[in-house]
Amino acid sequence: MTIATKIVDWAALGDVALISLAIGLTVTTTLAIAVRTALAAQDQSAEGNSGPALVNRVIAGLAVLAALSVFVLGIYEIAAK
Amino acid sequence: MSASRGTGNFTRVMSEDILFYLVVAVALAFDFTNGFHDTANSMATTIATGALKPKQAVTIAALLNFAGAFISLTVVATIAKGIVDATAITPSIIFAGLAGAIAWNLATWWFGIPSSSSHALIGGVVGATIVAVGTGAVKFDGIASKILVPAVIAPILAGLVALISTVVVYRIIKGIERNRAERGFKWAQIASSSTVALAHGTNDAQKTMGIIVLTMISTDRLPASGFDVPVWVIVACATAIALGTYTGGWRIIKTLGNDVTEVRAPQGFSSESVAATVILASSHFGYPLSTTQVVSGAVTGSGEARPGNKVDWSVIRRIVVGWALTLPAAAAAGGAAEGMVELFGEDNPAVGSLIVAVLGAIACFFLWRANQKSKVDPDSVVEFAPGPEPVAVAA
Repeated sequence: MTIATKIVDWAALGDVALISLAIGLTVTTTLAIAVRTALAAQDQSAEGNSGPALVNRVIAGLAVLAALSVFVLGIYEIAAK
Repeated sequence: MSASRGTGNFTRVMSEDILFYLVVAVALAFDFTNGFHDTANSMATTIATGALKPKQAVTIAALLNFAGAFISLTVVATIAKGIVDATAITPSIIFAGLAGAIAWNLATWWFGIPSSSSHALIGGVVGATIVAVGTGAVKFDGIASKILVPAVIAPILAGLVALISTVVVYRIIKGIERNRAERGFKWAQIASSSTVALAHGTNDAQKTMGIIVLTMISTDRLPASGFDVPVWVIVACATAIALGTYTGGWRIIKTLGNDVTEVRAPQGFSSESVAATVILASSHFGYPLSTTQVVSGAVTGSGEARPGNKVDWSVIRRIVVGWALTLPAAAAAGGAAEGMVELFGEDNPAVGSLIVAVLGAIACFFLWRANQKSKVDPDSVVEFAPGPEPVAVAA
């Protein structure tokens, strides 16, 4: 066993890096999409396009729910340990 | 003869009681400094972008830190485990370690450096242990694996993820008028900052609970195994960290929210979301990273990624120097405190600890007086209001 493997848990570190990258990117992208679609829905409502506006609102709502549930799950994981 | 023995026993028990209550008081004082030192982690960018007013931000952070302290108790009684030989720890060593950690927390707060309170605590305990029983009781492998390596990894990992996330976010909102986009992201930013505050309370309040529980075990107030953490310990620690958070470490908030880089809502949202994710992921995989270092790295990464923005690398250098100094400086302070405890209380550590506590309180008073003269407060913490700038896409 080398000093590097002795003092660093490379497996755990790799998991943290991969999950952070994957979930971090997913959460920020999802919420950015939520903002984009919510603003688009506002514009479409103002223009009288209620159909597309409703679709965008639903997408925005689902995106917010998805991102928030990741945070809630994360906290739950800590609490459940 | 028996009267003299009776008096001796009474004095010993009194001394143990005094030392125990002193350790509890100093532990709660450390918890308080931990709170105000780390308010910036969750709320600096939120305050900087105007998503929340300073007082609103610290109130929410305080409430979530308080709530977070009740969520989990897994870290309790594991503090300093793997860092020093637990059988060598005495209440006076814990006291001296806490005194060293508080001293370093206050010093870094004074200079506005967001350093890790946990590293300060471990440094203080290590320094006090070395002075009390020698280097043989210190597990240097544990220090390398639990502090040094994570200290390098945390900011780099968070910085890289935040950098990529910010680039992606700005691509998604390309073409949207800036003020509209920022309004939307401010809500998202409040949610992500609140998650960081809750995670912080969950992790950091437990460290002080661990210290108090350790002291209770070492003074036979709790059994070494199969104990429940007393409710008063949980409530006291939650209250101390929440009060500290509410006080707001405005100097550090200014550094993270203003001095490192100019923060806009999409970028602040990106950095806090990534910070929350990295903190939660690292907790899940049992590889705890410093919240402070994660957030600092994320703020830097997102600042570097925002089109047309600059990061002040001289501030980053100052922060990194602070991180590098945290362990040795807190250890030196903890060692000095232990030396003073032994000097003033050769026969009775309670007396030495009491004298050190009084000297520490006097030093805190003078620091508070000095702070009144060059105060950073909620009104002065935000130095600029973000001016108009079209949302552009990263090159």
